[in-house]
Amino acid sequence: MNCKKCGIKVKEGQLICYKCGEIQELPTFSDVNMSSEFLEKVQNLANVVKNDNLSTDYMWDVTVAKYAKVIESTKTVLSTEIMSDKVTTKMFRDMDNMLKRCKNAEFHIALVGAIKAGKSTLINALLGFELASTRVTPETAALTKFRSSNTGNYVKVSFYSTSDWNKLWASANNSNAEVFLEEYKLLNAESQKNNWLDKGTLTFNCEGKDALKEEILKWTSSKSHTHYFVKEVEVGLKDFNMPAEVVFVDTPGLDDVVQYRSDITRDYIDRANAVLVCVKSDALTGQEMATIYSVFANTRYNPEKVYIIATQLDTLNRPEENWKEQRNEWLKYLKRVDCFGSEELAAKNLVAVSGYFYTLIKDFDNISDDDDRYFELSSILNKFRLRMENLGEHSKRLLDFTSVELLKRKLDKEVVTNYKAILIDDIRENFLLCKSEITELMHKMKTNQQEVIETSEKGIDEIRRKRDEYAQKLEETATDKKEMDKLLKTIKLATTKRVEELTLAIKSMGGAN
Amino acid sequence: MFPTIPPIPPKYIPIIREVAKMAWKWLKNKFSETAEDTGKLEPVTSESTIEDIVKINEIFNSFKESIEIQSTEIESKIIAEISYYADELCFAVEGSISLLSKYKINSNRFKRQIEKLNSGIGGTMQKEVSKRISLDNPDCKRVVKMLPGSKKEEEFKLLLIAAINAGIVAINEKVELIVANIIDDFEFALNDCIELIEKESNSQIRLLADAELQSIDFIEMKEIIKNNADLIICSCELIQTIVGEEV
Repeated sequence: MNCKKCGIKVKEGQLICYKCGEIQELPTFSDVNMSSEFLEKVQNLANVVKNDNLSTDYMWDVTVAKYAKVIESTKTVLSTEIMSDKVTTKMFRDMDNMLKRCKNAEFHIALVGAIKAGKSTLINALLGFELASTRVTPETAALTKFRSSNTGNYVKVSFYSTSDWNKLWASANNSNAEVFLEEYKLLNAESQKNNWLDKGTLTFNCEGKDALKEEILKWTSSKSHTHYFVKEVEVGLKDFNMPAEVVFVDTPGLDDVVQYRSDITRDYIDRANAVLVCVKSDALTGQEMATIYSVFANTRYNPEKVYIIATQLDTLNRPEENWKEQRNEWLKYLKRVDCFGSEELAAKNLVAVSGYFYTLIKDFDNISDDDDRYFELSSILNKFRLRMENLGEHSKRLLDFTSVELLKRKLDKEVVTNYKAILIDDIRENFLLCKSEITELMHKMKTNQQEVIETSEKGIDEIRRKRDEYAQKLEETATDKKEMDKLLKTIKLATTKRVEELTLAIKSMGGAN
Repeated sequence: MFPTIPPIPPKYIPIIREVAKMAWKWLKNKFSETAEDTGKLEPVTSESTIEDIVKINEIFNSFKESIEIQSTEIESKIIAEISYYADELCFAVEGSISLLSKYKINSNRFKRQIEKLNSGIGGTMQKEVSKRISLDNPDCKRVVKMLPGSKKEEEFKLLLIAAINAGIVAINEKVELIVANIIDDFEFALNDCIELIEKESNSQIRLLADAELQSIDFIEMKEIIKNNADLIICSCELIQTIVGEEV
């Protein structure tokens, strides 16, 4: 027979159409209550088929969304009254873990660099708005994350716990961070400490980008006493210029005066999907080379994820010519085995940008003749032997020269696409495991139900006998469980001993006997 | 009664111990050599030239590269030992007749954990040593800033030893964590088998008992059982259709 609605073939006695969810011929009950109860259960099942809703959290990839839909729907059926008492805790846990993997993929791009190396200017150019502070004083004392937001612009601020703060404070004293300690005293931050430590996360919704900028500055500026206690600032942007999965992370840097904070950067470099090391393009100094080496030392085995960004190209006397010379010089160092390890990779991952110049050109319409930025733009154009009136005809070449768009494309292609593929592979593998476990369970359940139907046809005595048989099985399981616990204890004991032997053997490498 | 698992004798631990001891002997020379080279260098500060920075990093890198051979060998043997132990454990439990026939342990996830060992352990020691022997490491920074001489040499030697020990701690922590995860998964798999039988039995008992309670005669009872069983079958088939769809 065929489904009444979609016409697809359905089996004799099939309660709903598995394709469209249409309820088919239902059995009749002499009891009205029983009948309506049965109908309700069937309707619940039909609703699962009809329900097309899926959380937007899974929408970052079409295939992942399909996997999530399968698992979500399966979980809904398994959670119904009919099925829930037959499904194990592990099965639900595995499905939840699978769904968690499918949710909101994130690819973190960390920005590292010395003070005034142009990190914030670059972030602003990539985001298309001046959000990160570009002041002369170091402003990035906490991790500042920039990400896409579906709900509108917001700033989310989290604070140190007392225990974290004690570690930070000890670290500041141990590392003789005089400036930090002096300014802390000057701003009388100690008197504010108890207001902020252990405070829950605060979220501020901001209407426009100016309000957003103000809110960011409020929590990150080194001129305010609160910034000492801020652990992380997350900025959600409605208009995000990059793929929605990208999270830009402005780090305190490896040379932060407080070791506790530079350790945060170190840890982030290790975990991030890509690291952009901002270095001023005018000349590669010893200190800058030390920063570059430090990043590679912290990403050993993964030089592909490091990008050296030569910043502030517009500060060179003859930007185009000077950079050509500089680039060859830089590559000499960067191709070495302790950096990229190959000339090809070094050439691919060395990108020279001019974030400020890019922002000026892009924002040209909003720059008036008496604006400081007008004169700054004019002075940069002079370096290209161009006048203001030539900007229009040369804008494409100049924008290309800034390489901001090129960097965006590179990050999208080499970081997002690459890591997406890895993540999807992992999700697929997990999905197949889940699928095989679910299929196996469904097969088993169906066989059990066939057995029940067969038993019921053999008469009341057989039903009772079967029931006793299951009760007996249940009793045996209880005994087995106790034995299994004993077995597990034995296994754990043996394993602990084995790990001790193993770790002791490893310690021989450090001179232990 | 479940049989107790037979003892699983270590396979690679004696080799690991031997390799680690040899590595230590070799490292002792390497410590002196590297410390001597570093001890001769002028103080490295924020004012140092690019050439000075390159020079010191060459020494660091040469040390890191040379310990890579040792640590890679040890790490591969650690992976082999854990894999071997986990396999044997699985085999011992699956091999038990009562467990095999009654519970059919699903060890797919557990096996997947073991397959991922390589990515979990490989390179751990190198990464830790690399982070410690680096110009952003405060201890390293302090030592390279010192004036050339025996004091600097001695301090740097201690730094190298500390880095190796930190590498050992890191690798041991990873071993402990990975083994704990494997055992957790194993425990979950074993408990899952029993829970499934418990749930199955309880559900079948309930189905049969409820039908008897709810019906006035055998005909009705048979119908109730059939209809409820059909409903479960329908749910199963629906799930089979959902998971069977091409994605």
